[in-house]
Amino acid sequence: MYGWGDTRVTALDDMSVAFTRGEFTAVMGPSGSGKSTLMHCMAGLDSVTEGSVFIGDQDLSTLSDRQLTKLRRERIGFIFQAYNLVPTLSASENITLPLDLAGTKVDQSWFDSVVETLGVADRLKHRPSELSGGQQQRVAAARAMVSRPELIFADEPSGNLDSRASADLLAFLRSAVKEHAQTIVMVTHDANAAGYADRIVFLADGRVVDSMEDPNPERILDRLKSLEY
Amino acid sequence: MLRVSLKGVWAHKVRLVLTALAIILGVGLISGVYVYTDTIGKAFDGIFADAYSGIDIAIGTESDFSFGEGTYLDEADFALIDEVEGVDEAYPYLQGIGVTILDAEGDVLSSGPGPPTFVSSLSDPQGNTYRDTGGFTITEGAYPVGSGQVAFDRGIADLGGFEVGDRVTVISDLVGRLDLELAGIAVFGEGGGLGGTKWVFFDLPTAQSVLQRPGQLSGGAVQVTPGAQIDDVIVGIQAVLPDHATVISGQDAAEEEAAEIQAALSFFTIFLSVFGWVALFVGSFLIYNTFRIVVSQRTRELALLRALGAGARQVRGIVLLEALTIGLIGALLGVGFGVMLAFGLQLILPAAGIELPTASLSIKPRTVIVGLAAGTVITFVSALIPARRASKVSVMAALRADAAGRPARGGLLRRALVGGVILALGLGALFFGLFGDTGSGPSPVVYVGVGVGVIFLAVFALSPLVAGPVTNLLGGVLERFTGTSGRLARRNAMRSPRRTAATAAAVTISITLVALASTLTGSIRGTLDEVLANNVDAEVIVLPAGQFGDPSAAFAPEVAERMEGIDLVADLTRIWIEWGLLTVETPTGTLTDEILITGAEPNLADFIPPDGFQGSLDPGPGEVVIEAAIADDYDVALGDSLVIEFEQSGERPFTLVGIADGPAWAGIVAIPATDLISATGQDQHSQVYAQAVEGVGPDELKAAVEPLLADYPNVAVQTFEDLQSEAEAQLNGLLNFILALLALAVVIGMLGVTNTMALAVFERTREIGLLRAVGLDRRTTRRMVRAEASIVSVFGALMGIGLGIFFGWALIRALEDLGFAVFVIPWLPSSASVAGVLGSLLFWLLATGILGILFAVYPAWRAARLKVIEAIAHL
Repeated sequence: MYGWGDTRVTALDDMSVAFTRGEFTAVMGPSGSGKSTLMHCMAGLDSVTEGSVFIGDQDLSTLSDRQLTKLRRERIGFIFQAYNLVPTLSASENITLPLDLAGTKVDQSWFDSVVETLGVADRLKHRPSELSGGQQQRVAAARAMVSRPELIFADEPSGNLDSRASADLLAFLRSAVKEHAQTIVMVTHDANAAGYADRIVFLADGRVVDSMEDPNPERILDRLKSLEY
Repeated sequence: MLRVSLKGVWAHKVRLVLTALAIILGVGLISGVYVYTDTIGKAFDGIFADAYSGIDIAIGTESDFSFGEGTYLDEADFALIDEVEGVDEAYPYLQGIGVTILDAEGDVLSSGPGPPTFVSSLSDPQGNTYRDTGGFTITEGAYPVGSGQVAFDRGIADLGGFEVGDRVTVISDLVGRLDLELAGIAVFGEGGGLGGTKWVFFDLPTAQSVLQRPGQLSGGAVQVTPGAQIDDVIVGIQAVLPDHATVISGQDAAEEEAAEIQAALSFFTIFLSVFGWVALFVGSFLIYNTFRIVVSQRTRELALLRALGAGARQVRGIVLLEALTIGLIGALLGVGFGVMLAFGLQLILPAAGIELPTASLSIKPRTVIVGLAAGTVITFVSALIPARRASKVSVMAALRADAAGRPARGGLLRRALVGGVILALGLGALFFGLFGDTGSGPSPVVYVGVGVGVIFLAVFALSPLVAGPVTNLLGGVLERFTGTSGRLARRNAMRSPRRTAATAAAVTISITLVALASTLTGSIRGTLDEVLANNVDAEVIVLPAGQFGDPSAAFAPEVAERMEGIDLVADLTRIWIEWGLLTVETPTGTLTDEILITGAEPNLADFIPPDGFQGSLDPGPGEVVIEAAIADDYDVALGDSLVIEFEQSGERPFTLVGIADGPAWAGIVAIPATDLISATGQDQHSQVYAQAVEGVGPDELKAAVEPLLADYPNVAVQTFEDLQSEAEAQLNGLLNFILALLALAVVIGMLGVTNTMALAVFERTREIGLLRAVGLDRRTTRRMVRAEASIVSVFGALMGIGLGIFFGWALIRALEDLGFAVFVIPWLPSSASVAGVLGSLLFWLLATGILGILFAVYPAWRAARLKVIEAIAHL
């Protein structure tokens, strides 16, 4: 909940939702439906006023700020819509940043295979300002992958990309799930993007209103229409 | 438009406070110094007006000498004044120097280096409260009467714990030990002291005997009969007195003495306010940098204003108005702070042993005007360039999301060229001032000052070029120890070399001055060590004790006689010193200087062997030997004739027979001892050097000499190690004093670091949010910000230390004539003392690094406290 008294807004209301390990789940909903808040709470960036958030057996609501920070850099990966990278660091430094912060050694062969798959192997020495938007997002995806997190949160990862770059990125996320059993939760309002997911959870007014297995864009659009978006 | 400006100021209160703080501190120091010295000046005006209130005419003497003992009037001449028409009563007095006071333990009473102790007659002829000695009155006990009584000023009484009725011992250079009764205690004016000077009072005949001036007077005071015209009486008195007597009205005398004190104080004022201006200069960089960052941060806001129809000039006006507002507020508070500072100084300085009279604080319109003008103008000027940039913001910037804060890339080559040319100009002016012949143009000081200022500007123009590589290097060192936070800090420090350079510049200026002071004192110390260790061949030296301000102070010849009787003494040489006026006729005119003249024995050169010499080192009667640098100054050669004028006996001709070179000879003009004794009429030694017999060390010889001189407490036996440590203590005192004054400038420079870091944190809100999201914890976030501040500060300090060493080197090369033999870069502490450490350059490098961390605590805290989600959403 945010605010007090008359201005109090309930962002997530009596919601119970679970995300399956090794699955690519998309969260959809109109603006204000609480999808970002849901993601922030699950990622330990925001806290819930009532109830609990679990990653595995770990109850996030019991953790201190330091423990949450540690959890984020060791067990969670992030891909934001934009401004994903630290402008002063090179692509490769950006990718290994969570590992460097944790003081963990980089698994070189894993690193190589991730950057190879994402097609950024020849851009590693470049600064973010020297990369295209698609390259930046793929570097961000590599960063999210490289620490082998249990869970990757992607917040409209393709929102700022053209359709080609967008397709490349989503295909990579899809293959990461398939090949490495990576768990990904992606917030999006784009039916095409959501089409890459295994499952879709629909939110409205802070509640889960529907879900869909093995979606494709036409079915998603139908469903969205029926939900009167 | 004014409303937009005011809102801009108000919207950024922290920025306002930090910028204003720089102005407040600088303006505060300047106006505080003005208020304080004006207050002292007012106090002196009052005191002298008071002191001369009962005096119609003041009589004194003139002398060509500013350091000598003064000239005298005969009592017989003075007695003629009584016969002049219109004179009611004439009161004579005598003043001089040359006594030492002992404390209850029999040691020399001393409060450390300071002005000499004065002797004066103080009498109260007809029970009047008439004061005849420039403002002193007996407030406790009675006026001293007869040869058994003395009075002290309040400062001496407090220092020695003396009370009226105590038995006290005063040693006269000329007549030896005097056991006296303390008859009274005198105060100057309303109760303060007179600049830390010590005063010993006798009645007139006793003063004449103590100073060995029988029948002589320094001057007097005259009261005229009612109705007499003072001007007429002055003419009448002038007619009966010799030419060197001065006769002026009491009112003129009061004004003259007050003006003299004011002139002496103005040196003090200028000296102190220089540090205030330095602080403001440093502050101007802070202000410039703040506005520069603010403008780039507000690019979009300003562009929006342009899009809504504001002209370029209006946008410029908004920024300048903002600067004016901050400048005016800062200056107003600064003047207020200055008044508080002056009040504080009145309390603190007496505690530090600097006794000055007090009065209610004098706040002159000049103080307020200068303070306000300095604060506002400097802020305004500092904001000019940023304001110009603001007016060039393109309207399109408002519509683009990524336009904020992208620095304009000026041509590096152009910057290097322009900076190089400015640097060359500055160096030219500096070296011309130091080494060139400025002829009839402005004084060398002007060239040096302009040169230093221009070099500063050049270095600041060039520093963005090196800021990248240097911070990269510094950050690299840091990264080794701190890992990721160090790497992020290094990259941040490198991302805008111009901003880093501008922030570091403020640190640079203050550290330059710190390094200059350290280098100069280090070199003076090195020179002394060099002179004492390698250029003086003696084990001990005997000097007058507690007479730091008076090189011509002297002691009785019996001291040397007793030393000759000591078996451990192999040889000794006695030195007589007196002030003289050295005059040389040159083709272009006559050169005259007041200079110390040494009376030497034939064996002097055995004790201070020169590095080299021409002619002879043993002047015969009517002959003189001088140091090479002085010979250069006067452009004289062997065989030339010089004239030396003595205060006591007038001019005497000498022939130049020797020119000696070497640090120990610095400043020496030596004539035979017999000539000096006959010229001054006094056979008193100022120094005795003694060599020990084979195998006896300095400490052993000192231990042998000391007991024999027990009844001469006014002389001190010292080894060269003693002299070194004494000189060291004085140097340290000086360095500490200067550093204390520079501390303010250092603080303002560091505030600039705080300011830049606070703004950088604000600018990088989103980036910090991202870092926090991917796992940067709060502690590491803080560390990252502090580390960047540290890198920037150390970069500034490095430039400052480089500049300080360079200026120090140039200055010492220029002052070689004054005896600066060696140039020392004091990287390491000279001793384990506080001052020793403060004088070391490595300490300052380390200290600025730590100060950088401390001054970034607040921005670092702000960065760590950012809410991750809000930060990521921040535009």
